Parts: sequence; C-alpha cells; structure tokens
Amino acid sequence: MTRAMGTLLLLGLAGCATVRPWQRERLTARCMATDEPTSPAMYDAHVRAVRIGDVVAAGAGGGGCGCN
Amino acid sequence: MQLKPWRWVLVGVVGCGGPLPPRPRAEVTLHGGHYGDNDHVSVWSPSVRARVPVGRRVTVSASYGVDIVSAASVDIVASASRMNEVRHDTTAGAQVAVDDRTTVGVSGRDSRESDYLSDGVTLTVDRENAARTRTLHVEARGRWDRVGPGWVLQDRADLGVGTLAASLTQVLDRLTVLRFALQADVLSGYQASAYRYVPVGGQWFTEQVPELRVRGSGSARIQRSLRRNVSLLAEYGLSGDSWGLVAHSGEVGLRWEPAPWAMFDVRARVMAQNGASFYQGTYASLTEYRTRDRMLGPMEAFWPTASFRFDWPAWPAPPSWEVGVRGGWLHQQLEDYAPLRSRDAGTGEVWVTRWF
Repeated sequence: MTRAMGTLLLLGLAGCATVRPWQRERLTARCMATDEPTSPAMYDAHVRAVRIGDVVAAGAGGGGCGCN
Repeated sequence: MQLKPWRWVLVGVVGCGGPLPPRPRAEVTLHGGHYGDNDHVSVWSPSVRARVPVGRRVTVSASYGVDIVSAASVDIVASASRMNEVRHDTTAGAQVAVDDRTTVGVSGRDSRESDYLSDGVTLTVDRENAARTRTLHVEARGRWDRVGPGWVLQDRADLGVGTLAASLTQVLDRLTVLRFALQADVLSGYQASAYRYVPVGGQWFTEQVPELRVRGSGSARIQRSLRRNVSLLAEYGLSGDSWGLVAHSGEVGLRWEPAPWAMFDVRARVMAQNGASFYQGTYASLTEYRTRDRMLGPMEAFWPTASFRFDWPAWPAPPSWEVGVRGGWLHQQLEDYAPLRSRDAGTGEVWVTRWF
C-alpha cells in the first residue's frame, strides 16, 4: 500500500504546473473549497466511524463510543 | 529580564512571528443531526461550536455536543439494561498563526457517557509553500479511554490510542487540486464490548479480542472544477490492520452553485471490507479470540447524501449567515452475521452558522 501511495504521490507532484495567483479564479470558487473540519464534516466522520467502522486517513479523530 | 526557555518559545510563536495573516472572523454554529435505522437504534446529536479570534494570530475554539442514543442494536440488546444513553462531548482548542503561511494548533477533547470515558489531545501543524500551491498538514493525537463494564464504570478497563497523520494538498493546474493522506493508529487495551456475548456450542462466553491493534490507512482525493460553478471530487481510501481487516472505500461528489447564495452538494460513498482473521459467523468451538462485532465481519456499505446550503450575503462577499440541510440513506450489507443481514438507516442534519 505504501509503495502504491508513494508512486501516486510522485506522479501527482511531477505533473503539477506553476499556477499564478491570477490564474486561480476557478480554484477559489466556493464549490472548490476543501472539506474543512466544520460541524457537518465532523458529524459525517463520526457517523462513518461509529456505524460502519470506516476510518480512513484524515478521517475522524473523535473519542467516545456512542455506539449502542 | 530573565525568561525561562518555554517562555521564550511562547514569545517567539505569539509575538515575533512572520507576516500577519488576514484577520479571522468569529463564528458560531448550531448543528443538529439524527440517525435512525431498522436495527432499533436512534441517535439525536445536537451541538454548538464557536471560534473566536484573539488578536491577529490566535484563534480559540470550543464545542459541546451530545449523542442521545435510544434503544440498542440487535447484537447487544439482550444484555444492555438501559434504553436511553447520553454521551457528552466537549472540545476546546487554540490555533496560532506563526506567520501568514504556518499555523500550529492544540486541542483537547473529553467524551463522557455512563460506561465510557475518553480524553484526548491533538497537536497540528499546517504549512503552505511560498507560491501557495501546496499545503502540508501534520497531526498527532493521543487518547485515553476508560470502558465499562457496568453502568458506573466499576471494574473499568483502559484503552490507549495514538495516531500520527499527515496530508499533502497540491494544486495541480488551474482547475485541479489533489490531496494525499496517510494515517497510522496504535490501539492498546480493552477493545471488546462488555455487553456483547458470543454463543459457542449452546453456551455464551464473553467477547475476547487482541489487546493490541495497529492500523494504517491512506487516501487519495482529486477535486476538479468542471465549470465556474460546478466541481467534481473523487476519493479512494485503503486501510489495513494487524487483526487482518482490510477495507477499501471510495467517494464521488458533485457540487453545483445555481446562484451565488446557494450550493447543492451530492455525494455517494461506498466501502467494502473482509473480516478480521478471528471473526466467524458462528463459533463451533471455543477459540482464544471470538467476537460478535459485525464491524469486524465482512461487509459492504453504501451511503449517498445530498445537501443544500444557503449563504447570505451572496458570494463573493464573506457570508454573515449560513443555513444548511443534509439528508442521506446508509445501507449496510452484512455478509456473515446471522442476526441481521442488512441494515438501512436514514441520516439527517441541519445547521446554522453566524459569522461576526
């Protein structure tokens, strides 16, 4: 898994171009915002972790069970 | 003036950093969530969350929420004696902008219910490159849990969890952003359920699982602007642990802004896993490790959701208000779990955020 992720990372970084600030209009659009740790995102991660055990990288960091 | 070393560090971080970042705004969010499934489990989750800037460099945040759990699932209902349980979850933290490209943060968390206590701390560092096309996020977490059995934590057992995570977000071109994330978890201590018993040859035995679990996971996510007001995202995740459990997950999503004040977000997530090496649907004889935890068995899950957000004033002005709703349907297919072959749940959320 580590080797595959490393290969993907190298391919991704090798392919990136220099994007000037005035070329980022589409990237700064609201629909391109990354998922910040907002309340809805944290609820989503909590339900995934507790109900189906889906804990992937950058996922929930919560504690407690709440898992009856 | 003589200052102790740690005070020099504090002065350096708070008072003598690099260029100032843009002034953050205070915000308060009220959020309510509900989960209800055909396994007689219903969870209401109201919460409140606030972030307040203290000067230009420091932002403090806090949250409080509860999970009100009604009834109990089919695998533990025979031994669970209460029909309602409340979990209180409190967090508090601070973020310090060292300069306009670097942020460090610390936060603490306390989770309490009648038979489960959890306290944890998280340290984070975020660093952007000079061109602002790459962000590195590093996170270290530690958690100490105290688990029943018994509704008043008599004869409690401990569980310690350590996590190290990192992600790299990279602008690929004018339309595309890529993110890689890796995470390693070490769980040591009591990880079974005090209420879950395993039938072996007509008799019931307590659940037994290994006390050490080491887990690694990674994910890759790509987000691309299709039009000025439409974007697409796709994510793949893989995780595996020392118990032999391997899980694959994927998510696709579409965001659409029909107006500068509105946004639709449609997502679909799938997950598939094999079972832990010691998991059996039925145990013919007593084994060292045995479990009836369906989350350790082979399963597939499918979770489509749709949400709508209303922001005012409209983009590109910074919003003062946001109101959002989200609904979803979570389907689980349990491949080797006789009491319940599938589980269907409805999920719903509503939230209001006010910026000042």
